Amino acid sequence: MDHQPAPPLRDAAQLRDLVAAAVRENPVVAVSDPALLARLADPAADCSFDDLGFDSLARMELCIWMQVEAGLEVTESEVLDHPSVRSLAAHLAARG
Amino acid sequence: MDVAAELARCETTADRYRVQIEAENELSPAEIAALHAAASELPEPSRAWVDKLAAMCRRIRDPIQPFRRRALGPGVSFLEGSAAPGAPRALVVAFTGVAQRMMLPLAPFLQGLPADRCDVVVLRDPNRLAFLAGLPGYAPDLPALAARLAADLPMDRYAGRYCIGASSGGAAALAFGPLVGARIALSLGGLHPRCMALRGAPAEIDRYVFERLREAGPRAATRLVCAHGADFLRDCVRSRLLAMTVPGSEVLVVRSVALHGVVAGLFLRDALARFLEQVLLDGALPADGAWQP
Repeated sequence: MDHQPAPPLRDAAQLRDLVAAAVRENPVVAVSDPALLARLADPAADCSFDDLGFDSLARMELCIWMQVEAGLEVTESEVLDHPSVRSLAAHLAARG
Repeated sequence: MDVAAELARCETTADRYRVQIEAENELSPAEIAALHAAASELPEPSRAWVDKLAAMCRRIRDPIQPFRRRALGPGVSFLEGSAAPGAPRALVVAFTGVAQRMMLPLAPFLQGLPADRCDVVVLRDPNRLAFLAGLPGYAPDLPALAARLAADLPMDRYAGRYCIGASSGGAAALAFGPLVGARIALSLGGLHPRCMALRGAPAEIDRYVFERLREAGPRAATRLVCAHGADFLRDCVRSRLLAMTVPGSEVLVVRSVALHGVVAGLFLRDALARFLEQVLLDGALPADGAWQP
């Protein structure tokens, strides 16, 4: 059992997909609004976590999902300072 | 922390969420109940938040469990229960996981434990290194943590010691249990540190330090349990891989739970308190290795 953690993704588009997946998998807030789901699925669109109904509990779950399921450590400060799917992805891409 | 005052000072949504997250990580059930009782004095956007936290606590158990909180050091909180002087009580040591929580805010997690039976130590690794480097500013490794807790707490009052860890805290709980002679060490959706993304980890960090502790440490009778939700495949794999690295450990499947780290899934099944009492405090594990919420 000698698994290397996944190498960091640097591509903002891939990271955007990953953040969108984290939103869809969130156990605290289930996004069901078709318009929001369409924005999540559209690589050119953005969605703020406020629009998605993410409170502090949901944002912490997003951090947990990103680290455990995607292998990317994301702190609560990063989620708060980059409060939309696209801006968080762009930050993670720049951070490396 | 004076949550109401801090919330009143917040100028941005991000500031408000920062305060709320800190409160979620630190406040006891009684502190949440008090905050909820004075919710009308909170800024409007935070009232729904405290309503939600208070409802989570009440959903788990009624009445509110009267743990009294005090800090033992950076990232180390002691929650003293309500057992009468001289009455038998347990010490639960909880290793938080990713996001420095037990997969729920602290208050609802504590509400799952009976305050008249136990005191609780909650550990948060501020560097997010899964406790591989101990707790900075308190104990540099797990043996030092055992010594430090023995110095800081009246250990002779405890009839039994119990360790629990969620997610990235699971492996540490399994390693720490034998060091303090715990009756049980329980990992909830835990994973081996080798599998974790530890962004802040220095290159030289030893991701096998817990194995070395087991090899060098005393042979203890601690029951070592790797629990995972039956319906969350990634935790199934990770927990079984973790169990393979911990000699003598056993796997516990928690049926009908489909969330990482087990705790939130048990909460949704209204089974958190029963699980913590039966499995952790009573050590009543099912013979077939599967617990039914």
